[in-house]
Amino acid sequence: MLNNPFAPIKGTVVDIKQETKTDNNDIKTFKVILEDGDFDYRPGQFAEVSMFGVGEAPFCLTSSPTQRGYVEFSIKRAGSVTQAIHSLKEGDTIGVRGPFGNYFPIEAMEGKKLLFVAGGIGLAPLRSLINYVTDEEHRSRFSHITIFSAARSTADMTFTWEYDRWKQINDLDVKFAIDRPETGWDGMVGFPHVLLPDMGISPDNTIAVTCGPPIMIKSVSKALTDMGFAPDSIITTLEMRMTCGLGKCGRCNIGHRYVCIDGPVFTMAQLNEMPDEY
Amino acid sequence: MSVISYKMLQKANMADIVNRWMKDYDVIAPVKYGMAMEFRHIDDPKRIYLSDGNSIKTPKEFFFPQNDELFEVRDGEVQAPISAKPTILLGVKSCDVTSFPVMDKVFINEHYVDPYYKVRRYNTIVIGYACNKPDDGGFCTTLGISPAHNEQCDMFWHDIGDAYLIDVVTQNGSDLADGLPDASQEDIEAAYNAREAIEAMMPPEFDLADLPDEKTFFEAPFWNEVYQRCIGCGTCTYACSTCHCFEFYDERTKGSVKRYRNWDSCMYALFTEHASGHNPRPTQKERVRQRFMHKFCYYPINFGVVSCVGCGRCVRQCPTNVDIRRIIKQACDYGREVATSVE
Amino acid sequence: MNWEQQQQKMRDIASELLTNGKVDMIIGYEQASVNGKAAPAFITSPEEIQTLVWNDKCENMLAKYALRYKGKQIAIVAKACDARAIVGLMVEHQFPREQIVIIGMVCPGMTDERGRIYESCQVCRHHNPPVYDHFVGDAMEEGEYKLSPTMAKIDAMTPDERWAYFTSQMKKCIRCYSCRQACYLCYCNKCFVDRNQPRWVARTTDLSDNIYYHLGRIMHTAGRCVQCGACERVCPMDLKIWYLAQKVSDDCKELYDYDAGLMLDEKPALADYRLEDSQKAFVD
Repeated sequence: MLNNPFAPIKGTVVDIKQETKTDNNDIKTFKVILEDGDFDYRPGQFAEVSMFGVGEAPFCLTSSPTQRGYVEFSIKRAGSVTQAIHSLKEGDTIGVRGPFGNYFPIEAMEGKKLLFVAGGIGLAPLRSLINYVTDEEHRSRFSHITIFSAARSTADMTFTWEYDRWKQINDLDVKFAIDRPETGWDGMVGFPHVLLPDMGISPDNTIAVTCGPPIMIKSVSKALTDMGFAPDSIITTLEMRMTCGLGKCGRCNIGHRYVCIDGPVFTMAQLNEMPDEY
Repeated sequence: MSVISYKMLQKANMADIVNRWMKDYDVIAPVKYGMAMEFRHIDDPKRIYLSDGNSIKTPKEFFFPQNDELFEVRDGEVQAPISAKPTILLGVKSCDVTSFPVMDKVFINEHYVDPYYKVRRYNTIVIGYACNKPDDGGFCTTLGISPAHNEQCDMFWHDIGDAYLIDVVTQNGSDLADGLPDASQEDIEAAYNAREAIEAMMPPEFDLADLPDEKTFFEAPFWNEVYQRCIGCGTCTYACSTCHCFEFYDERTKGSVKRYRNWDSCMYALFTEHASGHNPRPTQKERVRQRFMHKFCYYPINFGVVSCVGCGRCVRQCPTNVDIRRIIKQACDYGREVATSVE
Repeated sequence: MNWEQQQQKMRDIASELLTNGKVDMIIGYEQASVNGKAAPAFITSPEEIQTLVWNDKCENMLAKYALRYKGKQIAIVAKACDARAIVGLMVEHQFPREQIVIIGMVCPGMTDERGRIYESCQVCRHHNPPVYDHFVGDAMEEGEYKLSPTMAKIDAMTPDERWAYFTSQMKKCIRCYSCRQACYLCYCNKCFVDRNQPRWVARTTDLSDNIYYHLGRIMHTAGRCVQCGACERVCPMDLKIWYLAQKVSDDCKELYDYDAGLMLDEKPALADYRLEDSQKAFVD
C-alpha cells in the first residue's frame, strides 16, 4: 500500500444502514471490513473509496478507531461514484485507499468542554470524534460534551440509531433542530447559526467542532465567533474534490494549503488566513 | 554545477553514437513535425532533428503521460506493475531540463512518492541542448534560467557549427560520452560566448522579488481584468512543462477494469466542481487566478521554487493571448505599489 | 475603405458609445504580445479606445464573450462571421437584440502568422455583417459557393484515404477542448464529454474517444454553424477540423437551403420542420 499510494486495498461491505428517510433515501452508512487489517487512522481523516469501473471519491471515516475491526463511511448519493456505492449489497467489495489528511487535535481538546455543531451529513466526520471521545477509555479526558445536530427535516436526520447510545453517556447533551416546523416535532426549529446564541453555551474552556455544507460552516463559525469563541477554538473539517489524496492532483487547494494533506481539519484561525475559496 | 569534462561530437557522427546507445536505452529525441518539432521514440537516429525553437508539446509526457495506466483490476485483484526501460531523453531545451526537478518536488516528496513518475524519471538520462535563438514568448532568463543552462541534466550540448560541444555533467553522462574526444579551449569559449550572446538578447522582464504576499496577490484588483479574454480551454496547461494536475478515469472492458490517470486542467469548470454542484472556483476569474498563483505563489510557499520555467509555450499557444509574462509583471508592479504605500 | 479607415471609424463609434453611456463595455481587438496577432480586448473607459485595432489579424470569435456578459449592455466589434454568430445566438434566445450593439465590420478575410488567408475566409460568402447597428466599411459583393481546398482534396479521395486522413488528424488531438471553448455554439451548461451520468466518452486521447468527441461536437453544430473557422484556428496541435464543420453546413445548405446567422426570425435548419423538407436526411 505505502509503496503505491494509488493502489486501493479491498474491502467487503458487511452492513448497510439507511440513514435518511427522505423520498430519495440519499444517505446510507456502509460498514466495511478491509482485507489488509492494518488501517491505522485518527478521527478526522478520510479515505478514497473505489467502485472499480466507475471511479473513486473521497469520504471521511465516520467510524472511530476505537471501533476496532472495521471502518464506516456515510455516503450521500450525488454523483456517479456515490450512485454506484448506493447500489451495493452486503458482501460486495469496494476498493479503499488511505487514510489521508490530518486529524482533529485531540490532545489540545483534553480537559475541555466540547461543542459539536453538525449540519446534515456534516455529522459524519464529527461522529468519528464523538465516538472517540465518548469511548469508555477516553471519556474522562474531556469535560462536558454538547452535540447539536441540525437537519433540513426529521427525514433528513442522520445517525438516529446512535442517539440513544449517546444520550446514555454521562455529562453529555444531545440537541436537535430542523429547518422548518413539522407536525409532531417539539424540538428546535431554525438554522443552527440562528439558534446557537440562545442555547446557553459558554465559550469558556470550550472547543467547538463544526461541519456541514460550506455555507453552514461559514455562518456557524461567524455565530460562534460572535458568541466569544476564539478562532483557534473553532475547528472545522472541509470537503473538496480530492482526487488523489496525495497533494498531487492539484485541485483541492485553498490558497497554498491542500485540503487533502494540510486538511481536511482546519481551525477558524487558519481559515481566516486563507483565501475564501471553499 | 561543475562540469566533469568537455567533449566534442561531430554532427556527422551523431547517428553512430545514438545507434550505440540504442542497444541499451530507449532514445527519445525531437523529430521534425510540420513546421515544428516533437519528441518521439527514435528508431532511426537520422530522424533526430536538433534545432532552434521548442516542441509544441513538452517532454514531461515521458515521465507523466497524458493518459497513464495506473493499475488493472482482474478477478477482483489489483495489479499494478511499475517499471520503466532505461531511457535517454535527448535534445531537451534548458527550460524543459529545469522543469523536471520542479516537477520532482510534487511527485517525489516527503508526503508521498508517485512510483509511476519516479521509476521513469530515475531511469532516464537527460541530455540538454542549448538554445541559440529565443522563441517568441520565452522568458527563461527572467526566472534565472539560462538558455544554455547545463545544470540538472546529465549532459548538455551546444551547437557550434559542424559539431556539438558537450558539457558532461554527471557520471551517467560521462559513461555515455565514453570515447568522445575532449573539446578544445577555443570551442568551449565559443560555446560560452554564444550563451552570453543569447542571454543578452533576453533581458529579464520582471523581478520575482517584487511579487506580493499570498493575500495581497489573491485579492489584487487586476484579476478582474486579466481573465476576461480567457476562453477556458486547457491549452496553456497541456502545453505547460510544469503543470501536473490530473484526474482518474476508469475504463471497463470484459473481465477487466483499468484505472488511468489523465491530465486535467484548472481552466475547466469541472476541475473543482463538487458532486453537489457547489464550485469553489465558480467563474473563469478564479480559475485563471488559480493557475498563476499556483505557479508563482503557492508552489514557492510549498516547494521553494516557482512552477514556471519560462518556456513560453502558453504564451505562444494561447488562442486569446493570455500572456503569463504580462500578468506576472502586473503582479510585480502591484506588489511594489502595495509595498511602497505601506511604507 | 481600407483597414485603417475602418479602424478609425470603429474607434469613433466605440468612443461615442462609451462616452454617452450607451454601453458598459466594448468587446473588440487589441494588439497581442506575440505572433503579430490581435487579441480580444474589453474596453470600459473612453481613454482605452486607442488600444482598439482592426486589421487582418482580428481572428478571434468574439460572439463567445457575449454569452458571458448576459444582462450587460455591450457593444461588439463584429466581423461578418461574428455578427452572424451573434444573430445565431439571438435566434437561440441567448440574449435579446437590444442588449448588444453590433459594430459590424466588413471583412475581406483574416490571415495567419505567415500572411496566408485562412481557408474558412477563402471560401467565405458573407463578408458583410447581415445584422448591425453600425456598418463599417464598403459593402462587398456576396460571394459564390466555393469548395475549400481541403474539401476538394477530401472529395477526390477514396473512402480508405478519407479515413486515413481523418484519423491522422484525430490522432493529434490532445483534448484540450480549445475548439469547443472557442466555438460560440458550445455554450451547453455541461458538455456531453463532461457528463458522467452516463459517461458518453472517455477523457483519454485514445483515437476512438477523440473521434467521438469531435464528431459529437460537429454534429451538434449542424445547421447552426456560421463556419467562422475559430475551432481550427485555436487548435494548438493544428488539427484540420474545419472541413467537418463545412461539410455539415454544406449539407444543411443543400438540403434546406439554409445559411446560419443571416436572419433574426428564422429558426436553425434542424430546429425547424416543414412538410416540404427534403427527406434525404432521413433515409440516407
